[in-house]
Order: sequence, then structure tokens, then C-alpha cells
Amino acid sequence: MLYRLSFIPILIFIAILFFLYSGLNKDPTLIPSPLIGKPMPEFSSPTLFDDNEITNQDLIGEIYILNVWGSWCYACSLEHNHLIDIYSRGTIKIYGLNYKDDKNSAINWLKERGNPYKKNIFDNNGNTAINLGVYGAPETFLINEKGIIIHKYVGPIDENYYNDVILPIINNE
Amino acid sequence: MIKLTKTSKKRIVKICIFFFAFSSFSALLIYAFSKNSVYFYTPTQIINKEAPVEKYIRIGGMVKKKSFKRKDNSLKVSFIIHDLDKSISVNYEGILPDLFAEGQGVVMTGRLINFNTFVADEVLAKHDENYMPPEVADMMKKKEDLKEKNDK
Amino acid sequence: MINEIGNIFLSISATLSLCMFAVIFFKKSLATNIRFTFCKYFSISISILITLSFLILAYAFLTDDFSLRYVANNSNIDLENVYKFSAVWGAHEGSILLWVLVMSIWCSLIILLSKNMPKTIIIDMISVMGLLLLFFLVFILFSSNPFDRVFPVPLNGRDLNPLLQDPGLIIHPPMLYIGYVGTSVPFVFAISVLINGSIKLEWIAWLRKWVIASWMFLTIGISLGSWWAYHELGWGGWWFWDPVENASFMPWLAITALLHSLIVSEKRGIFINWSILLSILTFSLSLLGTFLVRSGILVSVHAFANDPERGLYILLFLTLIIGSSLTLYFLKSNILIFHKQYSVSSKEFALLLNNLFLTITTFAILLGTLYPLISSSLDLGKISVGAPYFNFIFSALMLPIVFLMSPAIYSSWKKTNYKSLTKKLVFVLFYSLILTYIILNIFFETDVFVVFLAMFLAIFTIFSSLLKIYQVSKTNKGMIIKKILNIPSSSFSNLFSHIGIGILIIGITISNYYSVQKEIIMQKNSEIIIKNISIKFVGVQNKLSKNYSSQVGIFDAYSDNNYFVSFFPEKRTYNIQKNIMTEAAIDSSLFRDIYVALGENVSEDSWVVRIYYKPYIQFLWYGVGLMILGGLFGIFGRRKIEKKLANAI
Repeated sequence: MLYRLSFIPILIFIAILFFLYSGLNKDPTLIPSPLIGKPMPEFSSPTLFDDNEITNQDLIGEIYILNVWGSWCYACSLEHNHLIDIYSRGTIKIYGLNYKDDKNSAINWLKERGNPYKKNIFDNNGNTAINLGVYGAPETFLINEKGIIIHKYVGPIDENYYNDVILPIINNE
Repeated sequence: MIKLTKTSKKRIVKICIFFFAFSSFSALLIYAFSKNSVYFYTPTQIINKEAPVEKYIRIGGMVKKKSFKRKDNSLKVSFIIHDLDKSISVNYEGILPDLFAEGQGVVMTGRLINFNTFVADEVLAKHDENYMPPEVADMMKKKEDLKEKNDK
Repeated sequence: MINEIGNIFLSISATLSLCMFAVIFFKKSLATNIRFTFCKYFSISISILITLSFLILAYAFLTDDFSLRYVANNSNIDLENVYKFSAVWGAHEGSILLWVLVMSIWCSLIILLSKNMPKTIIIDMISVMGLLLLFFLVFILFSSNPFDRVFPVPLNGRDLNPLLQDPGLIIHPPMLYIGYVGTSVPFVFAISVLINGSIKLEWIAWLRKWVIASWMFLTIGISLGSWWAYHELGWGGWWFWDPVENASFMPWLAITALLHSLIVSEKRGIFINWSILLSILTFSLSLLGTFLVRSGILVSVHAFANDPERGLYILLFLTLIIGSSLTLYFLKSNILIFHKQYSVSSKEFALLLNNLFLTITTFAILLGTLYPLISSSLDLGKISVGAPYFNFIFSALMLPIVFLMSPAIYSSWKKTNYKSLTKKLVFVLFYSLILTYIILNIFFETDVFVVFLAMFLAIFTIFSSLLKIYQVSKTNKGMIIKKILNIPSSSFSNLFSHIGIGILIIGITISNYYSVQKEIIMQKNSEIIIKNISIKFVGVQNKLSKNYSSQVGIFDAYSDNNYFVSFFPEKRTYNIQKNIMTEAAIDSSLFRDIYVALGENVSEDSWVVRIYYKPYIQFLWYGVGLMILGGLFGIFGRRKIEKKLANAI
């Protein structure tokens, strides 16, 4: 009898495996932004290098990339060179959203590594980022000439991602 | 009458004991689960009245900017949490965790006194700058999927 | 350059592990002695190589080599050196490396300390260990390599998670890992026995020492974790039934059960089949714990990286290892069934019940921990069970286990004389009841039934263990101390551990039910009275340290108007990660802790303050200490320890 009973542990194990596997498939980074297809939320913030206000109205008129970054963010430092590459091709303008950062260290960061951004929204307290539903830096949004968010990516981007995903979207617009 | 041998008698006693142990353990488990299960809800579900009032539940969301208020120098605080869509207000009395801040993700246990107000017994904030409770993230994904379906 | 060497060492170790595993397939073509020698040199060289690469990583941390991504993510120039070193195992990659290091050392120890074991058994054990090592090394090399480079090299690191910058966390993970990985020894033993199809009682005696060792390290690891939570999390609690804690507690319960069933197997030659299954389950629970912690599928207050890809690898590994060993068990375990008669009053039966309850408890905790996963994958909604579930079910199942300890101590193998057993038990029971009643009435003025029950069980256990020590020593000759010291070390070991459990229960019960907690807003120079002690809030000062700045509260405590101690609780803000951490200030004495933590700054001179008076909380650590001492006696035997002590003095 004991011999047949020794099958029970295997059954229990299979059941547990099933639940573990189903738990594994819930990856929080896969959520699409609820904002895709919606206009860029209103904001009004100082820019990083001077204190002139910049608003969402100022950006309407051409397609652009909005990149969320911070000098405290390690993954942003990995992404930075790729952004500079994209910038040097000149096909699209990149705006930065400097997120929860210290002004001086952000400016130094750009001086050290080069500045791919046309302008930087200085979002010190993270208000604009919250409205954009930002998880954390880096994040990249693509916004069309009408000011509508058409694409979003969480995590650092590189040339491959730009060529394979972003460029086709730009060409379609 | 069937006569039982000594060994089969012992076997019956053993089986009875194990059966008794097994059933009392199951009863204990079922009782413990039914008494202590805590359901999780998001602000949107609460506003849609999917959550029970006056029952012990968990809710999660992000603390809304500029919504934090302290009642004249006491431990009583109130704030608003949202899941990027709907929001509800929260009352709490006690010490907030170190990482509690406006704009951060929090998970709380407590009860609803109506469909707009939650009274928290315990507030947890995550040790991560960019944290959103997985449950909230999950609900948002579901909502998004639904929207896509409807759009099509 | 040196980091590449570390990487190469790891690759060589992986190759050697593969070779070590391959030895199992040469049973027919190679002589046993040759295979044994191969295993010996393989495992020793693997240990040396992994130790070296571990040291290389430590060197990278100490010299701030931020060209390594892992160092850049978990260290900082301003970090203190101690923490730079402990940061080696502060995150995922390094802790898996530590895991492998510990496993390779266990492996070498098995082969070096196996004089009385047949070589064929040891060879199979080591080969299976080689497979385990191979899996983890491949995991490190391909998805969690601590020697991965980063370019451009950052000027400074992201700093170690401030939660981990605490003395308790320097040695907590290594201890826990030694225990975790130690559970692989009974596991590979079980596999080897199942493959070879035979078992001898001497082997079980040998295995038991290894099991006690890993039980002891798990005990140390878990209690250090609790101690850390008590000091660092600032809530005054020491156990939260958090998934991460449960992940370490389940193997502990399982290995405690194994410890007891192995006693029966060794002494009586029964329960062997069950012990083998339990060995497999214990290691499975260790792996499961690693999976739960590393994959981040359960929400936990302890922050760890959430990485589904890594989770998938560990899950595959888990499936393969546990699945195949359970199948092996299913196919071969029938050869290990031995029947012997024992009565309900025997020690065997008491230990059977102990195992039954411990297994059920483990299962109940596993169910509670996985419940959120189960309910969400069955679409029952987002449900979790919190501390109330675990507290209820754990205490309900623990009461009978603790109650059974005393009869188990007094009963004998096969069959106990009912008359003398009941006589002894009634005697102890009666005096324990009276003692409990007196103590509770004089010191605590309580009539809470649960407190009475728990205290009674604790006193019952301690009293009966002490009485047993007296009885066993009575027949010895010489002075009282000599009499006690001449007790066989095996009974020393279990009596010590059981007294430890009793003291632990006293600590838990009293500190839970008689803690006084005050959460208030205090003005500068105001006073608060808690349990006859008046605590004055003197003020708050700013302090700057290397990698954090802090606000330090100053509190003076007076007892009967006499100043006796000051408290300096801190609120630290770490420079890099901008995290705020609470450092509680604690004044400990034998019978109570006073615990002061600083909350938020409400207005200029008023702060939220949390003060606890926790009676008997120190008993927790004393109880654990005795349990560990019991473990030491169990491993080394009394004589060796006495010799060491005598030499030391």
C-alpha cells in the first residue's frame, strides 16, 4: 500500500509547479500605457538649463521622442550613448524629462556625457511623470505632431530598438 | 459475526487515527482560510462598488500628489490614493512607514466605511523608488486589454 | 584582468562539476577507488576555484571596481569597508555565488569526513552534488554573472540597499545559506541510497550529524534574520510571516522533522522510507524558497529583483531535480520498507506524531504562502492570508507538538511501562500547573487562557527536561556537576534544545501579551511614562556620516527620578538611493527591552515617536542560543566540546 502512496508527493509537486508557473507569467513590465492614443497630459515646468517655463503646447507641431531620465538612474547611463547616436542621425528630435533629480548633478551629467536633448523638462517633484504614468527611469514615449502619445517603452532603448520599432512608426505617421 | 485478528484490528485503529487526524487538519485549514482570507481591490473596483463595505480588505495604489493632510499635530492623517483612473480617500492613525511619500505606491489593509473612504489599519510602502504594487499593475493591464477588445 | 580570471575560474568549476557528475556513469568500467579519488580531487579543486573567484569579487568591491555592473549596482565609494565586503552577497548575483561556494565546501567536507562510509555511496552522493553545482554554475555564467562588465564605467556606484547596511545582515545570509545548502546533504544521501538500493543503520548515524549541522545553521540564520528585523525595520516586530521568511522557515520545519525521524531510523531501523522522502522534501523546500525569493513572484517587504527570466530557469531546475528525485523515490522506495512492532506508548509513536504534526505545519505554511498564487491562477480574485492565518494555524499545530515533548522524553523504545510513565507525567504535570499558576499570578496578574496554556506548556517542557537531566545524572558518580556532565551527549543535545524551545515560548508569549506600546507626538522637553519609566525627549540633532545624513533623537530615561540611560534613535537618509531608514534605539536587560524609534517630524519641535516596553523579549535569543548549543552537542559529542573548553580556559 505504501508503494502506491508514494505517488502522492509527485502529484502535489505537479500541482505546486502549475501555480508557480502561472505566477511567473505575470510580468508587470509588460503593461501598455493607458495613455497611448491620448494627448500628452498638460504640464508646465521650468527647463533644466534656464528657468523658462515649457508647456505641452510648446511641443505640439512635430513628432518627437520624450525620454524620461535621471542622473541617479543607472540604466539611463547605459542608454545615454544610444540616445546620442539617435540624436546625431537627426531624423527626430528628443526631449528629455528629467525625473526627480538634482538640478546641478543633472547639468553636470549632460556636460560630461554629451547632450542629445533639444530641451529638458525639469520635473523635480515628479508631477509630470506621474501624469504620464511613469514607472521609473528610463522610459521613452513617442508623441506625434498633434501631441498624441503613440508609443511607449519601459527600460533603456538602443539603436536596434530605434531601427526596428520606433523608425517604422515614424515612417507610418 | 466476523472475527478480527489482532493485526487487522490494529490496522483499523491506525486507519481511524489517520482519518481523524486528516479530517481535523482539513477542518482547521478551512476554518483558518475562511476566517483570514483578505481580498485585494483597486480604487477603480471600489468606486464601481465591487468591494464590500465594512469588511477587512487590502487595497493598493499610488498616493496622490498634494493630497496628504495631518489633522492638527496628531497622528491622524488622510490622503488620496489612485490607480491612474479613479481615486478614493484614506484615513489612518499611526506612524507611516519610512518610504511613504506622495507619488509612491502603497498597499494597505483596513476597511471601507463607504465607497469613497477607506480606514487603514496598516500601511505598507515598498522599498523601491519606482514601485507600483503588482496587483495594481496587473489590474491596469487587464483594464487595458479590455479596452483594446472594445476598441476593436 | 583579474575579473576575467574570476570568470574563467567559474567556467572551469562548471566543467569540473560536469566531470564529477559524469563519474556516476562509470560504475562498471572504473574501480571504486579510482572513482573515489577522482571525486575527491574534483570537489576539492572546485571548492578552491570558487573560493578564489569569490575572493576576486570581494576584492573588486573593496577596491571600488565599478567596471563590474554588479559592483556598480551594489556599492559606493563612501560605503564602509565591512559593508563593501558584505555587499558581495547583497544582491542576486553574489548571493547565488555564495550559494555555490557553500555548496562546494559542503561537498568537499562530505568526501573528507567519510571514513566509515562505503565509497560507492559517497561517490554517488558527490556525483549528484556535481549535478547540482553544475546547474547553479551555469545559471551564474549565463544569466547572473557578477563579473559582467559595464561600459561606460560609472564614476560612482548606486550604493548598497540601505536596509542591508546593518551588522545583523553581514552574517545572516551566509549562515542561512550554509543551512539551506546543508539540506542538500540528506538529499544526495537519499538519492544515492535509492540508486544503490540498500541502507545500513551506521550510515544513518553518520547522516544525522550532517542534518544536525544544517539544522543548526538554519536556526542561526533564521534567528539572525529576526534579530535584524527587530532592530532595523522599526516596528518592534521580529517575525512577519513574510513570504521570504516563510521560505526559510519551511525547510527548518522539514529538517526538524527529519532530525526526529532519523533518530527512530537509526535506533530502531524503521521509518527509513519516510526519512528518505523527508530528505527529498526538505531540499525541495530549500530550492522552492530560493525560487520564491529570487523570482519575486510573491509580494514581500524584503525588496529583491523581480526577474521572470531567472525565475523560469530556477523553475526548470526545480522541476528537473525534484521531479526526477520524486520519480526515483516512487520507483525504488519499496525496497526500504521495514516492519517492526511498536506500541502506542513507545518513543517511536511519540516521534511519529511529532513528524506528522511538523509535516502538516509545513504544508499549512506552504499553502498560506502560495495562496495568492493559487487564488489568482484559479481566478478567485486577489486573495492573501496575512499574519492572522499563520499565527492561528501555527499555534494550533504547535501546541500538540510541544505537549508531546515531555512524554517523548520519558518513554522508551518499543513499549513503555504505562504505570511508571503516567506516574512521572502526572507528577511533572501537577507541579508545572501549580508553578505556572503561581508565576502568572504573582508577576503578570493574568487570566488570559492562551497565555496560561502557552506558559504551562513551556514550563512543563523545561521542568520535565530538567528532571530528566537529574534522573539520568543520578546514577553517575562524583560531584553534582560531574554527574551532570557525564550524561550521554545525545540526551544532552535533545534536552538542551527542548529547554531552549520552552524558553523561546516564554519569550514569545510574554512579549506578545504584555508589551506596552505608545505611539505619540512628543514636544521637545516633554515626558512620557511607560511602565514606571519616564522618558524625556531632549531634542533632535543632525549628524553627517560618510554615506548618509541622519537626524538623531535624544531621549533620557528615568526610573524613580534616577537617570539610567539615554536613547539615540536615528532617521537616516542615504545619499545615493535617497532612502529613509529608521534605526531604533534599544536598551536591553534580562527581563525587558525598551525600544525607541523616531517617526516623522510633524512641526518644528514635535516628532512622532514610537516607544515600546517589551518584557522577556530577550528570552527569544536565550532560547535560540540553547537550541544552537544543543545542536553543537549533537554534532561534536560532549567530550570534544569539553576538551576544547578546557583547553580554552
